Amino acid sequence: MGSSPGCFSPSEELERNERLTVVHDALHCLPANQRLAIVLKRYEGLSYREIAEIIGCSPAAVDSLLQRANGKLRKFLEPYFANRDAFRKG
Amino acid sequence: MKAMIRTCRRIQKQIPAFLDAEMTPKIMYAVKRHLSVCPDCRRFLAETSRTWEVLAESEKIAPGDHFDALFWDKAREFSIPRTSRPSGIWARVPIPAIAAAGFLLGIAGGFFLGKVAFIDKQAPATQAVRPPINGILPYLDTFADFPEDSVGGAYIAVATQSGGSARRGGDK
Repeated sequence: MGSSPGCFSPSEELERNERLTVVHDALHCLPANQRLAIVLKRYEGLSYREIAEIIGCSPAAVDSLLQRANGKLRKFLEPYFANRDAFRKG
Repeated sequence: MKAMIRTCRRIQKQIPAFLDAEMTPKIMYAVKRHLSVCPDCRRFLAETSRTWEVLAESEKIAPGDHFDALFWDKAREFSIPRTSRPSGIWARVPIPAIAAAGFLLGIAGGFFLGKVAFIDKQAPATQAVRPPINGILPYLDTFADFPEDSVGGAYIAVATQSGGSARRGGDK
């Protein structure tokens, strides 16, 4: 995160680009409110209460949004993890 | 077995909040205790953690298109001075209760003031209707202690005799 692309070897650069693409696709498959919640949590580091104030719901609703977003992301990223593990083993 | 599955589902729902430490210590302790005995939930925890690591390794991603609109809506809401809303302890006191208390206080105060005014008016009236004692008008009592040979004593004697004869004449 924040490192310049020139610091990576070609294989690392390839893996990084693939990861970025997968993460982007995974996030864009989420509904808007779940995507917003997960971006505010994972990238902005906000608390549930702060996210609730921004979105306009309760912290419990934020918890629910993040649970559902987490479940969808895990399912979406499963093939990526499987491929990556197979590539690293091979 | 079914109970165990239900517990696992409940715990797995709590995993994101557990990793974010957004839960009470009591629930966190319960989740930890379950994780120590359940390999499935430990695997779920590892997968969730791995997902988040991948997200964290990625470059910062901008929020959705409507984030700016939401943000500025909230900013405008907070910039409006909240003069109409009571703050602190007054926010918790219901307005009808204050109104009712004021109403009762007004009634009690009015009753007290009315009672005081009524007593002040009643006191002189009771003195005014006091009847004469032993045939002598009350205002003559001021001369009662005068000696008989003084002017006051003579006045008392004349007044008493004339009052008594008049009363005697009237009786006849």
